[in-house]
Amino acid sequence: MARDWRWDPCVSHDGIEAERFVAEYFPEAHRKTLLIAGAGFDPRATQVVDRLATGGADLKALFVRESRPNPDGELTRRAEANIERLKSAIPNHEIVPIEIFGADGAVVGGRNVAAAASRQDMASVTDVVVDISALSVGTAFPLIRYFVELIDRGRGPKNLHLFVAHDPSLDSQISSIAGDAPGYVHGFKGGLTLDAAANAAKLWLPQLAKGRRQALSRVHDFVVPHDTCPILPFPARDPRLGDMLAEEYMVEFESAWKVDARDVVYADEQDPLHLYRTILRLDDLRKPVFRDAGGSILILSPLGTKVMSLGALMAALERDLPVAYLESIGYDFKASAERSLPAPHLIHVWLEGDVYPQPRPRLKKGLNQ
Amino acid sequence: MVNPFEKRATEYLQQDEAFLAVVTPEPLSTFFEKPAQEGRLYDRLAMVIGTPGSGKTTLARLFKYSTLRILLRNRGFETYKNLIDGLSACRAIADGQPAVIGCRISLESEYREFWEFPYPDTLKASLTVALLQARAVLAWLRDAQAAGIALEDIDIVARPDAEAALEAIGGANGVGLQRRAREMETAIYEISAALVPPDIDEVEQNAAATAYRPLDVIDAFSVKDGNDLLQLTPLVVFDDAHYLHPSQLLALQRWLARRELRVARWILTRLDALAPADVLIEGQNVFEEDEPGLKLAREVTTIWMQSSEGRANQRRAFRKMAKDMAGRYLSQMEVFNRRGLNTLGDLLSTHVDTLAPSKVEKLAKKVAATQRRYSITAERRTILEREVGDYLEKGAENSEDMKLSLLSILLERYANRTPQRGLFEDEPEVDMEPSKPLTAGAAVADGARIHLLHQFDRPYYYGIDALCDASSENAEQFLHLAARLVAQSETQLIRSKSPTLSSQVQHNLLRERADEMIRGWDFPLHHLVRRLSQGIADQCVVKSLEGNAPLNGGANAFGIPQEDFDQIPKLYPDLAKVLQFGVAYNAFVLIPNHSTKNRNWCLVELSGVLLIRNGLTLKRGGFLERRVEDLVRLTEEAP
Repeated sequence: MARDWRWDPCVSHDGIEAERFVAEYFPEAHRKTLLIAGAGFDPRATQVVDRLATGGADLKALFVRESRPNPDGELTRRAEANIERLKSAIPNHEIVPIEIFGADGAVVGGRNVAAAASRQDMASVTDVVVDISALSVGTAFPLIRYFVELIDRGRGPKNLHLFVAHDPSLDSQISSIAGDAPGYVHGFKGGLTLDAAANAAKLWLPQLAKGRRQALSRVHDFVVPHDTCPILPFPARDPRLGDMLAEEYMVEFESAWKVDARDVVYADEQDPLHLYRTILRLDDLRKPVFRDAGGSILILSPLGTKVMSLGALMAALERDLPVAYLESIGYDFKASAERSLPAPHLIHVWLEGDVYPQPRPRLKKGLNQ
Repeated sequence: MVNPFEKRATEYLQQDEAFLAVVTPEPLSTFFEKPAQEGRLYDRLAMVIGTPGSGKTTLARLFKYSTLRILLRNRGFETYKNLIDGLSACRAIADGQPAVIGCRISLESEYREFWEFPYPDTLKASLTVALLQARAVLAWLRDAQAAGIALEDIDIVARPDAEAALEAIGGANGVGLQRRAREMETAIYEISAALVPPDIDEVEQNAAATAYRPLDVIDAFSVKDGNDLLQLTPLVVFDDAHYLHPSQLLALQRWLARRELRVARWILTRLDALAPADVLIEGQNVFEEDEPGLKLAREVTTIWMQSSEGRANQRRAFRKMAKDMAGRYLSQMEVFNRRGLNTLGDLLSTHVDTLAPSKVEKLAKKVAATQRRYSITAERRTILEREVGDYLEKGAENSEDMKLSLLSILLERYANRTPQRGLFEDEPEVDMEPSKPLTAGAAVADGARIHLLHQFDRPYYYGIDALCDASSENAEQFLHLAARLVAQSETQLIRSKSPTLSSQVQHNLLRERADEMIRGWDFPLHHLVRRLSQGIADQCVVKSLEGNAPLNGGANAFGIPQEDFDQIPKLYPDLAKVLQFGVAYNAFVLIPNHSTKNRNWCLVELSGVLLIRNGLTLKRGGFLERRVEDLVRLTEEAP
């Protein structure tokens, strides 16, 4: 059946194909690329930048340095080391410090990063690359939305590429210290707070991740959904990961969220498009059912791996779905002693650009889609 | 099988009938009845301040028109009777009809974003207030519709001099009011949802946002409900105000505190909404002292859901409420309901098994050694044994281990209260009278139990009252602690065993649960709160285990001279933050102006879960005299 989905089909690459794409595409003579990446402690921060820089592309970089209160000394040292590498990799760069929290502890990172992006001169840029490997959800999502909307209005560069260096083992070494103010990612409210949505049937789709029980419980209390369908990674590099997560969240499944075994959504840990399609399919199935009863709305909470959050982002962009989350006030990174871990797996999604035929399925807005 | 204790059920019950079945009316009489009777609940701004899980949101839901309507339609149900009485006492129900129409607006996330706009504060405040008013109108109308009233049957009673303003809010009828409110909501939402805020000129052009003032116009709602024509007091409850920017909250408070408003308005907030100084020094909240034209006592009714005043009464009231709540939750569980087991207290045995003979023997030897060490005569020991025996005979715990433990404390006290002898004196044992008579009583017995807990793991945390006291007057904490006990009892029932839990089982389960809860802390600065609380607990344990039990049950708090404590926000802002989050997340309870030894202290008392985990007394009052520097040092010490 032909579907009216914006990113189906979608141009994407992973692994060696993504590396080849980087090596061949960006050095093309007429391309002028703006690269936006996180300049934090995450060891993946330099992966995409290194690959782009070595190919001889015409690059300008915007390195986003997320600032959180009272950072750990070791993490700051790692971030400094990464910044030095980033600076030497791309001499034409700008480092933008982004305060994630206001003086009173409110989450303001999304607004700050959107404002920083809006100040960029895009006149001669042909391609924007956003590397979300070392960016948090609260920063990456508004940033990407900003460029998608800009391109949609015909005022931006032609191409928008997303990259992520996928490394689940690294994800498990980084634990996040959750803040206490759940909210919607800036730009991803989806009209949920409007009176028109008051009677909509809310389905919450949280991505489960290790050690995020309390964070997700708080988001649940904030969202107050009618139903919950947790997303588990399967297939995953660790085939037992889904089982372990289900075990960890057993109390939530049984008590607060009332999750039936049939409510669990499985998504390929390594393929963002799999989750994207699953979410849209769910949305398509529910819409006609609830049309006359106040409507249906899916609420996403991408607290899991970065690749899966990419899938959630694409679905949220296309359907204007709200994204509820809890910003991290800090991170704890316990680097594994064994550095013989496999190198991160590069994933590329060509989100907007001349590769797609026109006209494209439109980005929907609000509940009345 | 779902255990409703695992999660606070009221938050998840979307049907009013199910919600009302588990709500207990106690907080209404404890917190709201008095201000309602005094006429201070609906005619001015009311600030309701409490820790997370203290039941603020549940209370707000009770005042909705649809909830009141369902309650009154089912007034024949026995379970609803107390709730109706409570709401009548709070004047939410009058003459058997709803008297208020409440709506709750959560201030989470969205409204705070206005303060990030690059506009002047006045414009930001007026946008916030306009959106809140639109949402309030929509929520009132939605609630009335949920109760089965058509929009056409809803009118407002407008202020007599507000004809032009009435037009600006869409007229007096529900249909026009809703249309206009929706327009305003969408217009302001689009500004707040924009990735990059629109230019100020664009916003200012939309002057309607600042002219939209329904709360200035509405005096009351006139609702045709069936054959009844009711006049209802509109009540708007702004919940979770701690999410607002402090200046934004102040602007909102200032606006709501105006006397001209006829609409009842409450702000519900967690403790940490206020500046650290406000949390740490109770009472110095809400407005700066020099706020022009505002007098705290006159303009605002403040309701503290955990207060330092009347703590004994609060504990009694909480016990009552918790027991009632537990009964209602228990009746939701088929396994218990089927068997008519609706009282949690009945499932928690208060009988303590005596220690094994070998342990009693060990304890006896220790007591004998104490007697020898202090050269206490056999006659004196007999006198003390008689004192202990007389006391224990009156109570339920007349066991050998308690006798010995109490005797041990009295022997130590005797030694302290008689003159010291020289190190090398070889005098015959002389029985001297102590400087102060030695008596055995409930307080010393508590010390004896704590000693037995640490020496032999004898159960200390058992019975429904201990469970209530361990909850630090917090409903959510009570449920979290009770959940494990209920689950165990359920398991025993399913296995065809008696559902009653022995004191040892209760004790073990509660200690495990408390440990789990503390390990699960992940609120901001939790690692520093953990460090500070553990430091306090360690020192309290040392004091509690001193042989003569100088503080009877022992210590469970640090006392800081009040004048020093008042300086914390200014001189030690980092410590103030730690205390603030500790208080907000039920790690500490602050008791300011506690008078002891002719001095005022602020007690930093450990919460129930910390007391359970560390084996400290649930009795209040015992504290260690410390300085602010001691608190700072503890937060800095490596774990």
